[in-house]
Amino acid sequence: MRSQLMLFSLASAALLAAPSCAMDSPGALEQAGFSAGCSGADAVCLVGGIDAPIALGATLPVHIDLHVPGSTSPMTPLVPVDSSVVGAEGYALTGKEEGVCAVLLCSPAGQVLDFIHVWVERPAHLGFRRLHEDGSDLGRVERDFEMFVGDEAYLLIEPRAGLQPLLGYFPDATWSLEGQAVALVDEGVGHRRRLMARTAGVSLLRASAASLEACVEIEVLP
Amino acid sequence: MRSFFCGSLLCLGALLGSGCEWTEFTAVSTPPPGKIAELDDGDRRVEIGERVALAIECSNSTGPCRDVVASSDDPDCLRVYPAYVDYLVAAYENGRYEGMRQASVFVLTGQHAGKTRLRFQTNAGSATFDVTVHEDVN
Repeated sequence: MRSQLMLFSLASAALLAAPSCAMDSPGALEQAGFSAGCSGADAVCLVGGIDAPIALGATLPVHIDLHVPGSTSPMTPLVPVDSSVVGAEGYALTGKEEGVCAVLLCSPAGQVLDFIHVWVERPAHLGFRRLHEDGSDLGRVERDFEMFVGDEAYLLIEPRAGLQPLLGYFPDATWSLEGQAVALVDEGVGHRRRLMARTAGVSLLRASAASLEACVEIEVLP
Repeated sequence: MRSFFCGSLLCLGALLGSGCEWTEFTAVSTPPPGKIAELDDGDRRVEIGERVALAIECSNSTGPCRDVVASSDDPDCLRVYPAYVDYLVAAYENGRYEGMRQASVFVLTGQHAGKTRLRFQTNAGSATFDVTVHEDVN
């Protein structure tokens, strides 16, 4: 009877487990998909699933797709096992201490619907990522770059550990600009900044967060 | 496994399915890479890392466990949560197939390093696990 039970159990699980969206990270029970939830204008969305550590000190909005057949999604709070490692506020996770921490997705009745293990890692350095106006990713900013007068560029701070990009944005990041060649605009959309090339010359863009700094020189051509 | 054998010995006259009870537990999730989350049902032991979660399924002679009361002796060391899962398991009553019922799953979370006990009381017996929560050394 036990083997019969096990066969039924395995077959049921295989048949009923909903496949997860390729763009999200499936939970351990395969009943929910977890992905970075944010504006399409924000490159943090481009990475899809939570497939990298959250940067220490950074906040990652999380989008949840619940895959329970025959049910819409109830309000599902995120419950970190240790809130000193991963903080949760609504549907945003914050990396508070290096390490790994399970985050539970719970029903209003307190049942666990799914869970995922989240890693937090200290960023080694910051870089910039360049976006198209529509939010599509143009890639890492590898070196100083040039613009023509009238051009625009959209940039995002990317925390990195070695070559690996880390997830999340820094709410307390500061941006500064030296020189008059470009203007820096906070459009209030996501966490990107818009650069507008105003006049020929050179400007130096700096962004600081988590005691780190990213810097790039922008030359505006006439 | 242990409970199965004990149950078998104690219930030799139960070939017709009357009164022979056993309860078993199976891990239904894996730990994250490099971390520990193991359940040994034979020795009734659980090894789990701090801040790690492990899902386990409870079944017994009637199918999925019912009327389960799960508790940890030290919730600061280990916590246990009921889980909702969307799959069904065959259920039996007095040896007769009774249809499919929702699986009975629980999620354990290692809170802080230490040792404690995890207890289950079900419709078909009880089980106690010795639990070790291992310190996370990154």
